[in-house]
Amino acid sequence: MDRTPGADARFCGLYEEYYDAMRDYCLRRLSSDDTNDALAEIFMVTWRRIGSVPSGDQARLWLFGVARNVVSTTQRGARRRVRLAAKAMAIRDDRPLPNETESLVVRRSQDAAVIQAIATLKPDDQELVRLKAWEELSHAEIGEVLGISAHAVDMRLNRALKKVGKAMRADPKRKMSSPRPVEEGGER
Amino acid sequence: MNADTVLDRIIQANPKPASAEAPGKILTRSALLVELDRRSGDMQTQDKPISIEQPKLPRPPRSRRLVVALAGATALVVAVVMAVVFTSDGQPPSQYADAAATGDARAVLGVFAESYRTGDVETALKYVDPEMTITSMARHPGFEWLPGLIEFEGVLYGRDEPGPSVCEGPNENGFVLCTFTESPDSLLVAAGLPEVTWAAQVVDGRIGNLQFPGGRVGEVITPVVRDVFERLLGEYAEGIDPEGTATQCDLLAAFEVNDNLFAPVVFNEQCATFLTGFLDGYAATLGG
Repeated sequence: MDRTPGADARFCGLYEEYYDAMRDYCLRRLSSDDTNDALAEIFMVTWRRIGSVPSGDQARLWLFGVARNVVSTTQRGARRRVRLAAKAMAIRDDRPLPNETESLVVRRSQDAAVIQAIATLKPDDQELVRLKAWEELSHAEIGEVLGISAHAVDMRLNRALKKVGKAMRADPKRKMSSPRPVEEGGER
Repeated sequence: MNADTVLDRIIQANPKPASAEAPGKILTRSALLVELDRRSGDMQTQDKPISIEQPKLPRPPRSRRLVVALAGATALVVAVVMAVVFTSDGQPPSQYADAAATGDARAVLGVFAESYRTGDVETALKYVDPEMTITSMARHPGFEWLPGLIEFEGVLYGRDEPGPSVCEGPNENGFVLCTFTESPDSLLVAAGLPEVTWAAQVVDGRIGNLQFPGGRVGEVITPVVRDVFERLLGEYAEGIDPEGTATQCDLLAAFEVNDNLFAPVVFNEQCATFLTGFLDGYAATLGG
């Protein structure tokens, strides 16, 4: 870990500037509990690798890349916990196991169908759509985070949106078993 | 429901709009800093020696590598490749060779980039660390597929000389930069990109981390030429190779493979030959 005064100052600057963006990124994908852990891990990685964080706006995209990996790891852990819990409880009926979107906070009931429609996409396309719609990244920025070209982002986004639209049309009254709606800004 | 409407619905469904307050359970800035400090302390007490042995990544099946390769190659075919096709002719050979031989970082990148642009695999690989990574493809070493890529581009663009270049650095992040000036009549210049910059971290005379200019070039070029490029490529494929060789280079279909775009990129001569024919014809339509 690079602990020179310059490195400390750089870390503090990044922390101040991007804490909100990283917190929101995690909250859009994880539960509150998992968000705290993921947020800590993102900045731990940043701290350890402060010497290789690029300068300027590239730093923000670098952080999104770290956040993506951390959230992905957290979601895998969450799924393992769900499976383990199911085994432990010896669930023998036909109730579906909760999926990863269940832990998300949904502000309005009608949003649950949209979230579920996004969940029908492949994981990379889910992330692409979220980065576009929720993080409001440009196509070039999304390309940087995902390691693909802006052109690829164009095409994949277009296809993904069509699939989401199709999923929403196919089941416009998708059951609201997950995620659960809560009041805006409230705790789930 | 069109794409814009769907996107608008997704935007509306944002679980945490920037304007909304975070749930009370989320650590504040200051609380998180305390937590980081604690974890940092925990880590120091748990430090273990780290093995320097690199794990071997399983090689995916060849057919899968090819398809994934084409997906990963698209940025380069539409972008870097464009940069090379439309650069000026008649530039002198590498000015960096002597300095690169002494391990000068700027010269190493300079001679590597020139070699890459002219398809000189042997020279390019002299200046690459076998454990090299490509920025934004950091999950996999870049070295595995780099020779194939250079050979691929050698078939396509071996006839082209790189433009004048200036190398400088390293900057505060340890990257040296080499900027190539494009020909005044090139498509890149018309698109507002008169220069293309490569960046690399060089250690002991070898490139350990490389940033292709493809992303930046693609950002500028793609909106300008994509539509006509794709239309003409489609017409070419249909007219020249209706029976399927074009599928070797089906870049658009390659986008369907989206589960692992970080995989090593592999190219094939058939695809390069196919594209050469197309690009020759396309280049002839430009610049009068």
